[in-house]
Amino acid sequence: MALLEISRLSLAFSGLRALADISFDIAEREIVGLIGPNGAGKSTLINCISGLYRPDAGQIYFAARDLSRCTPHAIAAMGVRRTFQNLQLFQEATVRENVTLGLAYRYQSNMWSDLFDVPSARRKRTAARDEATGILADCGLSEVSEAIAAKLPYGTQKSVELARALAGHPQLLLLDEPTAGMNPQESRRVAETVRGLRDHEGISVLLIEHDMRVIMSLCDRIIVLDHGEKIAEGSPAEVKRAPAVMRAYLGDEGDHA
Amino acid sequence: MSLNLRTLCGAVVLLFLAVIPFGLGNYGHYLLATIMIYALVALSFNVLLGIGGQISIGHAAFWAIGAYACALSVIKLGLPFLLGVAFAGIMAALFGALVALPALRVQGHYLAIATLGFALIVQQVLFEWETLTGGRQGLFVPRPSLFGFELTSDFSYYYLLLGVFLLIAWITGNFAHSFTGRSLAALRMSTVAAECCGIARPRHIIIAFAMSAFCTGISGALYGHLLGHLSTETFSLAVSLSFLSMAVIGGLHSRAGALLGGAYLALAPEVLREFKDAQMVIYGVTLVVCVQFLRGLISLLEPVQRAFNSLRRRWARPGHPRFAPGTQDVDARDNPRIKSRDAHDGA
Repeated sequence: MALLEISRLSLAFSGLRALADISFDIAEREIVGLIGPNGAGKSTLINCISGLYRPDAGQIYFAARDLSRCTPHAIAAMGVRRTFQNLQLFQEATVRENVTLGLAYRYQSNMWSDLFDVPSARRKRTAARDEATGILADCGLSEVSEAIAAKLPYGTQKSVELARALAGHPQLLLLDEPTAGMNPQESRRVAETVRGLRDHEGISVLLIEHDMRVIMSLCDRIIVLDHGEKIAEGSPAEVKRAPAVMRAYLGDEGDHA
Repeated sequence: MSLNLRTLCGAVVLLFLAVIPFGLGNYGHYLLATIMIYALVALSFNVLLGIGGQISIGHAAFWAIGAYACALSVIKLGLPFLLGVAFAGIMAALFGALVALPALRVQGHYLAIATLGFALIVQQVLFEWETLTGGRQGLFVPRPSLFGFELTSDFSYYYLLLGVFLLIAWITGNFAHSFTGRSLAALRMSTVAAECCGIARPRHIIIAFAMSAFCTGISGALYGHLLGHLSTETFSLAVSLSFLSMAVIGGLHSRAGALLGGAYLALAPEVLREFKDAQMVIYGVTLVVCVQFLRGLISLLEPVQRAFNSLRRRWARPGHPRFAPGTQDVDARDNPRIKSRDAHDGA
């Protein structure tokens, strides 16, 4: 059974069609690439899955629940985590705090024990801190753990965002251009990380990416969007050959005139 | 060796606050009492604005609700004074939770207007509801009494207020360090990111408003008993505005800043009395300077902190991890309001 099932998803922004009748699914332990020209609706789709946008029609089933009716925080708590195309870090906070906030929801105590700082609340804070320390180490961020997020180089900030998403123990990870603005070395490292997440942690990934080398080497399956419609779906090799994809990226023959 | 500047300063300030009434007369005691009362309101802005980033120009309403709830419960229900104060806090918190509902939908200027509207409504209702509040005549409030002992002087009342301030400061400090408080701060820094981390915005915004209103309600309750007489004019729009500016001027990110803000609001009119009409200019300039160039007056102490830290580092034994030089911890405190990521805008 598929982990995520999207059926007939549509969304328009004041008449402008952003997503039209999109259907596909993602299996467990699968990396699915989402490509398409600028404005094709890739980020919009991820925003729908993570609950930031409410689709006009269609369903998004994850673990037998329709995400299109859930709030973003409920979706995150169900194990769907994401990163953002334009970084959305807690900028004034340390790297450690960013990651800790990624897992804090599992350690929340009730308000009264927080206000009076009872031992159980303190124990939970320590436990969360320990877990964050582990994640920071796994993501190679131990050395910068006490640095302010905004002061770090761009590539490192991207890693922090990924670490924060992983802190939520996701089953499904939505990555919106994780290698944008990175040098080839950094891109390769991110690709390795994502592959490791699938192979060792069993995490499914929906990946928006412009770097075709990353997409072709990493994805089990690729979905191509254009003007809000799904124009192709298949293995990297299939998608590469699909005429619809060529048209979307390069234009019709007639366009060159 | 674990000498900490905060602990040290806290102890000194506390000692000072405990001793100072002995050197002052009646009016001095009254002023000290108002400092504590205002500082409680400033604490409430620490929670709401400092942590949560939510604005309110309606806090005079929570102050009024607290003042009337306490006075009426003591007069009409015969509640003991301290229970009345707690009741006032709870009433204000309920109204705070109510005001949080529009805050879930609107932000910034719109939220400011919504809270302003709330304050005007509360003031008007209290004014018109003569059978309860005495309307134009106002309401006489008995002296506070503790376990049968009447606190007849502002001197003794001040110590009670100091105790309440310390208690509430302890609670708001706990809140700031708790996951609830930190999640609220996360919502301020990036709402979408926080929600996508599993943090429920409605719960945290409601808690922020309720807590903030609670502190202000307690303050209002205590103020009513200090004045001995309540009238709705006391809770005007101007009061809401001066609460907000006091909190910003003192510093929104520390309890010491709240105390400083309270002292500013209570003492500035006394100090600046000679300037007559020019007072308003001075208030305005102070506010602008605090907003534009400082993070509240409390941030003027940051150089002292830096100097202390560098001294401590020099004294520290080399290799002692606790005092390892160059820890980013210092940066965090020196500059927690980093806004720009302009270096990467192009990406």
